[in-house]
Amino acid sequence: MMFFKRFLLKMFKKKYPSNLFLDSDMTVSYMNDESGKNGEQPLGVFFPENSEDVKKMASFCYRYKIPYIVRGKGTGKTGGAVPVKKSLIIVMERMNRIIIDTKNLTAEVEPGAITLDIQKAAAEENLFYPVDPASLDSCSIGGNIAENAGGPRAFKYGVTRDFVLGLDVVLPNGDFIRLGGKTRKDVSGYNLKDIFIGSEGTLGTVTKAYLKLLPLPKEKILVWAVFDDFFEAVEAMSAVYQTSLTPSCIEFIEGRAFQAVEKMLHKPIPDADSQAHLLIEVDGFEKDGVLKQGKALSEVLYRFSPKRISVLPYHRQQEKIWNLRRQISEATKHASFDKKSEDICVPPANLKAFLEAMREIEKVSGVDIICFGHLGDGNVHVNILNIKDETGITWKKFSKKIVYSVFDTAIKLGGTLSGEHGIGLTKKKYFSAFTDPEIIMIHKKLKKLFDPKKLLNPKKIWK
Amino acid sequence: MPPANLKAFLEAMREIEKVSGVDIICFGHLGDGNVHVNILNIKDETGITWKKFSKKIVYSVFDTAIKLGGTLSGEHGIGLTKKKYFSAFTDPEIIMIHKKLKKLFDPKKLLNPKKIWK
Ligand SMILES: Cc1cc2nc3c(=O)[nH]c(=O)nc-3n(C[C@H](O)[C@H](O)[C@H](O)COP(=O)(O)OP(=O)(O)OC[C@H]3O[C@@H](n4cnc5c(N)ncnc54)[C@H](O)[C@@H]3O)c2cc1C
Repeated sequence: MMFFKRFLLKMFKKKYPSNLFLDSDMTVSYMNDESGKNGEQPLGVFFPENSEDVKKMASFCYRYKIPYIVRGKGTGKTGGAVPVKKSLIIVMERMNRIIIDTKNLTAEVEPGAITLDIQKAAAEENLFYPVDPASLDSCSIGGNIAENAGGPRAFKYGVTRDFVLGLDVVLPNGDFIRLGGKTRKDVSGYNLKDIFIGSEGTLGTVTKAYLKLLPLPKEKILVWAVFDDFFEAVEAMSAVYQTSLTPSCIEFIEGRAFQAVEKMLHKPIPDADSQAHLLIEVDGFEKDGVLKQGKALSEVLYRFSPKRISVLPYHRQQEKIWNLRRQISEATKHASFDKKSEDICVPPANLKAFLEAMREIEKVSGVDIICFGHLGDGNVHVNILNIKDETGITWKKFSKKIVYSVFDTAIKLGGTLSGEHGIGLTKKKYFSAFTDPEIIMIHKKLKKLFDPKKLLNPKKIWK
Repeated sequence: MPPANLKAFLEAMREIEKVSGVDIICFGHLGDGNVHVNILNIKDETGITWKKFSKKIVYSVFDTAIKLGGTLSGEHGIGLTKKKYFSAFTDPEIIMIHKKLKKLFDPKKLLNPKKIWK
């Protein structure tokens, strides 16, 4: 059977000599993503150049029952792009065109376009695509749509879903559909577009997206507050909630996370030895306005006995801090033999209880749990580090129990397993354990509706 | 429709008015490209010819919107009154997905039956 599939792919390659690659040297680099999970070596790697190519390949796979996985840039953290079965990989990177439409305030983008490139193209026209995952210089918009990615600015602006007006999709049977478009409002029929957003590449292949853009707020100010008491930082965040201030993001960084970055970069970071840092950004169109908000914010924060508050008005200073923030994920990996990183989300009012519970788990289990993330959204990146067990033998079992307790805490506090990274492969066991069976049943039926032959990104999300 | 096509849409409405002789009054959320198109019967008191005639005009209004990259409804939905048009103007593949989704959640067709599509 496998032999036959390989033969068919060789035939297909005759039509697409410079798009389809079947040699082992090539396929071996498409077995994993940023989750660290390894999958099966793919049967081949296909680089489509337009939606017609995608359609042809999807129809071919449908006809001959060849499983396939759509891949953006492989920065996914939950194994979304990892092939579990012997599959074909469709890599979207050659489809990366970006057209900015200043008359409709939209961007028409192909899925392989890098998120940062979309932001840059929009900014050239004084327009703004706000969604800013920390991986923005390396991830694709197709991956963002499939994962419904977010970022710090989600606090004010929302996540990927909030900016997708329309999608072109190739279904697993090879049919092409257009859902929505450049219209800003649309209630004609079921909202099918939103079923595909966040579906982790399991229901259809996105071949184009129409994104909503905003006017570009050019003025920004960053308030960097350092706290010696972890929980005072959390209290300060809820106090900001009670004001009429409108920050674009409220980020939280445990001191230990900055310490890991220090170690990796061999560069000191001011006050990395303090328990917690808050990064609060205000954006707007007038310097005076953002400065005023920055001042008002500082006044609120001073009530929670910070060690220091710095108000950074210049772009270069701000980018320096944001760059350090973006290194955390890598740095915590660097600082441990292995880590489990989760990204639970709880209602913001329950953040304190959640973080207290993490301290308790640390105390009882003896592992290090470093938290950081989008505090304003209740979305915490929980990094559970193995810094003791070099062989990783006891860690393997042990860490699963800890991950389970982390999720259990989040769910009991009205939260969810993932705020941005999705379920994919790494969390599917937990998804099945913590999700209402009725809801899992609907997932299965939806999958069957769109992909009756189970070809597209099989064995993901639920067990 | 996409806001950049508003002018073309409103021009087409004027044209339909001129040709058909009915009054078409427009208002609404211009910034979003969402126009409330009010087609008025001010002549035919019995409403007998109006009934057929107005359907043709509604059809042209939708046809114009769709051709300009628009959609049948920005806020009010399809329901009963627009289901015929929904079926006429929507990709059959998409209607098929609607039917399958309906079946997925409501296999006995009990909840608000016979809405949205024909
Ligand atoms: C350092 C680092 C920081 C990160 N920070 C953030 C963050 O702040 N916020 C956040 O949300 N995520 C973050 N991520 C996770 C990751 O970057 C996002 O999930 C991103 O959206 C993945 O994009 P990608 O192009 O790499 O997709 P891939 O990893 O290639 O694929 C991810 C999933 O999308 C599917 N997919 C890709 N393209 C398509 C398409 N065209 N049609 C259908 N399905 C498709 C794949 O099948 C797969 O299931 C981070 C990752 C790293 C490594």
